[in-house]
Amino acid sequence: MTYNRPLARRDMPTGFAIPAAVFVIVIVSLLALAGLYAGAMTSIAVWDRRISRTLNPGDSVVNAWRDLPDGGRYQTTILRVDDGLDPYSNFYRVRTVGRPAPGITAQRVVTTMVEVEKVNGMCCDAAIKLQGDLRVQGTGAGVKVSGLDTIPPAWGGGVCPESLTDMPGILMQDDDRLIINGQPILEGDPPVLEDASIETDDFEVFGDVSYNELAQAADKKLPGGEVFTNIAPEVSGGTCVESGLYNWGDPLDEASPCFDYLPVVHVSGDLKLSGNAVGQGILLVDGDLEVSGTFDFYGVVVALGQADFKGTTDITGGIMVRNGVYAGEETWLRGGTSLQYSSCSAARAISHAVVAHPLAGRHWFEVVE
Amino acid sequence: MPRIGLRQQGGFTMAEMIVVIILGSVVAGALYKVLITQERLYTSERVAAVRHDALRLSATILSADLMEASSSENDFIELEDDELSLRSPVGFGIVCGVDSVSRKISAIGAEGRFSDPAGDSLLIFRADGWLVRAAQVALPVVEAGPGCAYAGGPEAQYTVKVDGDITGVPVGAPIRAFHRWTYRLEEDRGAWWLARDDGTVTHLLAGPFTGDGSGLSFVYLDENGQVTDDPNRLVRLDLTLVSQVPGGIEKRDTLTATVRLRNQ
Repeated sequence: MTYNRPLARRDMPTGFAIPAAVFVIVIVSLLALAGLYAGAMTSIAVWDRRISRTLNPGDSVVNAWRDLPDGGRYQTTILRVDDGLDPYSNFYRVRTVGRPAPGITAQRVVTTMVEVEKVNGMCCDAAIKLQGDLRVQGTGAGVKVSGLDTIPPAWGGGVCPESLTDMPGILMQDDDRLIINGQPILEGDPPVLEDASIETDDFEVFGDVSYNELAQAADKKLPGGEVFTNIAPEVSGGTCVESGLYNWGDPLDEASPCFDYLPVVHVSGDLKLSGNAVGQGILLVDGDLEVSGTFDFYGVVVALGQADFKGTTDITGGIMVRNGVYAGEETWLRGGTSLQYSSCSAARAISHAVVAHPLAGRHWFEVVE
Repeated sequence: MPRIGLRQQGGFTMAEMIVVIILGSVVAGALYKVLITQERLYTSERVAAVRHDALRLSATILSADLMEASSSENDFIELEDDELSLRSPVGFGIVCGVDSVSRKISAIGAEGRFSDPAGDSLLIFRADGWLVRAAQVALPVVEAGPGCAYAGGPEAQYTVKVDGDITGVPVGAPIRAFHRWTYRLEEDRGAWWLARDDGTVTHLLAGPFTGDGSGLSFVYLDENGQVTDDPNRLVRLDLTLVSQVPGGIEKRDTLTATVRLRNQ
């Protein structure tokens, strides 16, 4: 935009029409600008992770017009602009057109650059990784912790790669804090490994993505302190109902419409599961995790508090329990608990976990049409 | 015998003439007064329109530049009460292909200009920070550029040769062309105008404004709402413009605006 002609030399306006028109244009444009700013930010805040999976470099998608509370409307066009060589970082151009309420003709356009980062290094160093105490109580198949890499038996060919790499069964900061009652099955390479370098950040920072960023971008946000009794896949008319708060995907039926739905679930406090719970994806628990019913989960579980498995738990993938900032709280394994490391199950969940944010430094550009 | 006498002649009496003249004078006087009143009103409206025009245009220009500037990325060079130097955006594009050996970049989504002769420079995104480079020359797309790294996607719109290393610039990185401008008021022909200059050329943009020091003023605020003179802590800026048409017209108009930087 250049303004090379000095206005000092121009003729004086001969009436009120031009200033009035300028006034109207400015005000209406500001209305439109407010709309498209909100629109652009909303598009990032509710970033649809399917975009990250379905758009190849150079591909674009045009979203439908959306309404704003003040009657304005906006439309976004998303273009993937990276070359696809970095598996953990993609760039998108979000072009947003904003218009004020019907009856006023105006339009402004802005471009927002968005970086979408995938979780890197989140999981899993073991079937269970923890910082504090661990008490295992059970005998035989009643309690099993296995770091032997496994492809979930229910999953057919093509879902998982052939290569498997065994990991430790239990990876903990101080193995003196492991208390075993009975004769549980502990497997892995090795079954128990001490790593004094484990620190709090291991449970909160995963490559370029933090726990908080991931929680903020979660597909499902649940309050803490409540008891959930029925977590199950929800299908309607042959389609997975992804909006269902208690639909955490279906890892048990490869033919289910919810098999490819792996949400990020964030619980802002303690999570108590009783009854039946089936799901997959990434489960983030700010507080304690307590299972007293049946819990069958494929993917990655991160609990910032402590965990207590009293019921029948099968986690296939990996689990990390920070055990609180102050190590010394307890993580219990008892009842019928199986923690099975699976690189495939974990990687599949992680590949669906993305965080979108405006590009650092300068992401905003207004297009002058 | 016929009677001979003076013929009765048509015409106005002196009294009638006096009445007509008086009435005509009254009407003419009234008309003159109406015309004078309208002329004054028209002049007043016209001058007000000029003042409003100057305020709106200046606020639009300054707001547009300020919204896109990034204080954390050193886009603000100098903060003064009555003048401001910054990197003003003049172009935008997205890297779709990089040849770091020949230092050429192909781009899509081109907006604005990328001109070295005009004194523009480039900001190019890289993971470790934005590179500041001179744009040596903008080439037509047909002249050898790396092209776009997309299979079946959009094709390159232009190629720009860059002065300096561009190793590590990823495909998908935004490029922003910018020009260093200083905004302040300049006097020209007895009036004060919003002007910008880069040390070489000065553009008068809008006006007139008051010349007593109140015509253009800035207040710079940090994230806590405290006044700051640190260009890297700037988050919000309060702008005040006071317009006044010279020639003895005392009336002034004031516009205040708050601009929050969007590129943080």
